[in-house]
Amino acid sequence: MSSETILTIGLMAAATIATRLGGLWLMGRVKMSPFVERWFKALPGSLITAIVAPTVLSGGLAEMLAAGAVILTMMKTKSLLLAMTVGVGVIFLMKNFLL
Amino acid sequence: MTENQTSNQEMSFTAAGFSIGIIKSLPMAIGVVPFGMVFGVMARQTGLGFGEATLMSAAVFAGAAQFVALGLWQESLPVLTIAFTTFLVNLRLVLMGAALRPYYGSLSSLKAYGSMLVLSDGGWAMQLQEFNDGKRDAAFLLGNGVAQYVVWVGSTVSGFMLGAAITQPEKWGLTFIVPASFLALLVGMWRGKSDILPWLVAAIAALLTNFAIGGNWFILVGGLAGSLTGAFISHREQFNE
Repeated sequence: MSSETILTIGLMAAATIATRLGGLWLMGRVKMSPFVERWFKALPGSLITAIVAPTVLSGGLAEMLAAGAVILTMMKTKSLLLAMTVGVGVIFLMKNFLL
Repeated sequence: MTENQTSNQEMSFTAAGFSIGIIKSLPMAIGVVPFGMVFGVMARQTGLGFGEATLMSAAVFAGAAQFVALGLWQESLPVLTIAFTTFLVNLRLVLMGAALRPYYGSLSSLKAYGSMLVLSDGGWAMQLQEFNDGKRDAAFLLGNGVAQYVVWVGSTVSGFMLGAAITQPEKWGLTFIVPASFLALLVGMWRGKSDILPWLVAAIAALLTNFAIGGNWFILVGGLAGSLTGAFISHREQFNE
């Protein structure tokens, strides 16, 4: 294990622990403004959208179809595992048989 | 949420509450298994060693943040980008912890902060449900968290070992696992039409940044642009209503 990897994982752990303990700690001291509260709530969805957007939108037909399949399956079944399986399946079929 | 009906009743923190937390978390823990295994498989394909993948799950214990870190992982590690992105992805935990203050504020620091160490989205939601049902045992969250922790680390290990069998991930579509998991998570996070604009802004900002600068900046730029948009529009809605 390189020291750089250990440093990275260590900082990830420190950052996560800070967020886990931070809310309880802060609330004992300050009142969070409604704006900051809404910003925190909006963060996870926006971050995840930002992460997948380039892969899906500048990928290709296979990626876009697979993305659509994942979203539809998840909406219908609410099963993370099934949705991921369908997405991977679409890519597999497209790359091996159609393209 | 429940701020106004907070506990005038005494809070307790018992072994019984801890056990109930473990038992009630089992269905959720089963749902965590494939996710942890996928993390193990992906970690291997990203080039992490067995020890590294296990250490990450054991030390960080935060699924979404760990997947994001894999997305950023490369030969010369962008250490600070990964650390800061982890912090941003997990900022929601600050809110969750804040919402628990009315219940945990009266407990000893060891019990309260010890419980927060294993705080997770699912455990948080279930603990609040317990409080809403009139239960007052705050050890539920700790039991739930410990069970999920064991399952998370264990499934990472087994996923990593299974990953040895997969030699050509692109051919099987497996490189799409992480994007697929993110898309599925997004569907689960959908709260209504008010999400359209922030997510659209996030996607466009990410695409533009990816073209213009490259590197990993698109995640931070897109995430901040989208979330600030979300904070502003819900702010305006509040005053128009």
